[in-house]
Amino acid sequence: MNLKGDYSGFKPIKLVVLSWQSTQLITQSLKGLGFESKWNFEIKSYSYSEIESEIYSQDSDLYQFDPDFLLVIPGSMELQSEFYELTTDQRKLFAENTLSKINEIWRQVLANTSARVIQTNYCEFSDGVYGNFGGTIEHSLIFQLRKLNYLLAQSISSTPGVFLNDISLLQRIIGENQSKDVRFQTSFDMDFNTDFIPFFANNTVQIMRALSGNVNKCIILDLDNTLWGGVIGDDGLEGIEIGGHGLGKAYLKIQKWILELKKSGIILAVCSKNTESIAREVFERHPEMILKLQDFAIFIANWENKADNIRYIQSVLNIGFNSIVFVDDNPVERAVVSSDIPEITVPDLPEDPFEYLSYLQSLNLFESTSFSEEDANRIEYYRNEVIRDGHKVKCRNHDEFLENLEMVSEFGHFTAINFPRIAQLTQRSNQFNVRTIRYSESDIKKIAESRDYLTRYFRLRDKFGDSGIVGLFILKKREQDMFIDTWIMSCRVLKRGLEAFMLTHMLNLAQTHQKATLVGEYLPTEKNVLVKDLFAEFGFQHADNAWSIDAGKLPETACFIHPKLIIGA
Amino acid sequence: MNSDQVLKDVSRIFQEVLDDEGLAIERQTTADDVDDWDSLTHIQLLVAIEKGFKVRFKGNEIQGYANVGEMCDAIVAKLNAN
Repeated sequence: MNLKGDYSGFKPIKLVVLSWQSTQLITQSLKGLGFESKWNFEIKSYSYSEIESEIYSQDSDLYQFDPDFLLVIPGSMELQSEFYELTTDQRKLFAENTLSKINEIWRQVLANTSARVIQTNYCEFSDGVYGNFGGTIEHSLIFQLRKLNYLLAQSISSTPGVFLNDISLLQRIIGENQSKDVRFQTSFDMDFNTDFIPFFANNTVQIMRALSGNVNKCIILDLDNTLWGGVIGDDGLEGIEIGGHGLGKAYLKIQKWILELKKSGIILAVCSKNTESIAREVFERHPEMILKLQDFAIFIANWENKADNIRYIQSVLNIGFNSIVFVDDNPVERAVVSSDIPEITVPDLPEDPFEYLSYLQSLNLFESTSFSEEDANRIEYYRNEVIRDGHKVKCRNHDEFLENLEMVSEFGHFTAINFPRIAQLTQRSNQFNVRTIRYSESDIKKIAESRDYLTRYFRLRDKFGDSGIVGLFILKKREQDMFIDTWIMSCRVLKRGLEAFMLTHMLNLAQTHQKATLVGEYLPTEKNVLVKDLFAEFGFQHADNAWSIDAGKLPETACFIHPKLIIGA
Repeated sequence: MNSDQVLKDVSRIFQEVLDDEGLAIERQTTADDVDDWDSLTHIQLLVAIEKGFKVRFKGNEIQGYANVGEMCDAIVAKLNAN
């Protein structure tokens, strides 16, 4: 615990906790964990008796505080007493009625703050009244708790801005008896014992980190003894263990899991000390292999230093080292990579390959907060990117290359179907992002519907493939000028002229709305140095910490993107 | 183990939990005498003492003792009963 550490200079994070149980130990644990993320938590806790007055009064303490996150924590003691007050018929509706109270809290909070809501689900415990039979009768406590958690998950999935804190699952992993202490529960209203609270807090912080854009995007895999048993160079195709029984089956399970990661949008890459043709042959010819060559964005097999290879992979993918996980069975390789590139996540695999998978799963490396179609197809973009790179060499100059790409950009203002991807871009983009303001889906919806803002998203496709939505901007109409609230572009499409294309649209919009000036602002972060000179390069003038440009001054660079307007403008 | 030896170990646990090496704990010390001894640290102290001595307090006992001395006597009694 780092409670006495120096939090000065850390990012302040305002958190409100609404709880039906004691929270002191939980908030203390959150504060301590914040240290590792360089967060300085400022926390306000309200107990269930205070919640109503806080959420229904516009000028309540809670709303004045304007939290970044709001964490809801149910309590078993209170819930159980409420349940026991009910008649048999009322008990059958307990889950629905409890959920509608929670829904009302979300509604108020989402309407009155810009906080993301993290909703903890319910501990599923039995009061032992009906034994196993209780699970099948509608008016039993365990039946209603299970139903409540199911309904809660369903409700969260259809409510932008609310995220699940799956403590029911975590408690099952740790064990109910290991996670609570009936003495403390009875006397102090604590559902969790002091051993479990750090797990609870860690789980919660992981969600907040993911919501703040700290997510792993790529897994780089070693081959020999990591994806199969044995060494392909020594043992040959017939000698390595993959599929069948025993060890080969353990590796089969690992490969199946990695394929699922790919489907969820994680980029797969290979970094192996091997002769490339021999390593590739396993994927091409071994009948038991689940993973195929086309599942990987990049395949590096050579005899170079792995840290150098990983640096190369990082530069091609253009993502941060802190969003990469490197998996290798060899502790020496792991040590080399993690000492050379400290930002990268390098799991210390257990010795026994049978345990690799459950260990990796237990680390919760791939916490995420959204899923969009783009995620499922991500590998395609990167594979196409490698082809584009090859194509580039054949063109005499960059303009010719761009022209040959036959790029078409579809654009329009933010619409409901795009809200998830747009919110995701604001949350995940770190490099080409001039102000790094993170928006939830509900924020995006508000902005899209507001008369004060103008919005545009941009898709980009070329003859090699569709990159999906890769850029967006949000303009704020101010009295004197048009202000660039957000300007984001995926680094995948850097140097294709989309920046200038987007800027042209901003300038046109400024003119259409009778603003003579377009104003930009660069808010530096650790990661967005890429756009430090962006405004200067396009001829914006710097004054008073802002960049401004005459709305009539269009970029001079040639544009090879063909526009395709979809909605509005 | 007698009550004095237990007091010594209990003092050390207090110092660790409250992160204060100079903290002096006597038999007659109560929560009112120690600045950081609030309901929050009370729970942490109990858990640390239970783990340290491998004893378990009853539900009634976790509410608190009149002073540290009484707690030490209870620990001695539990150790002797084992």
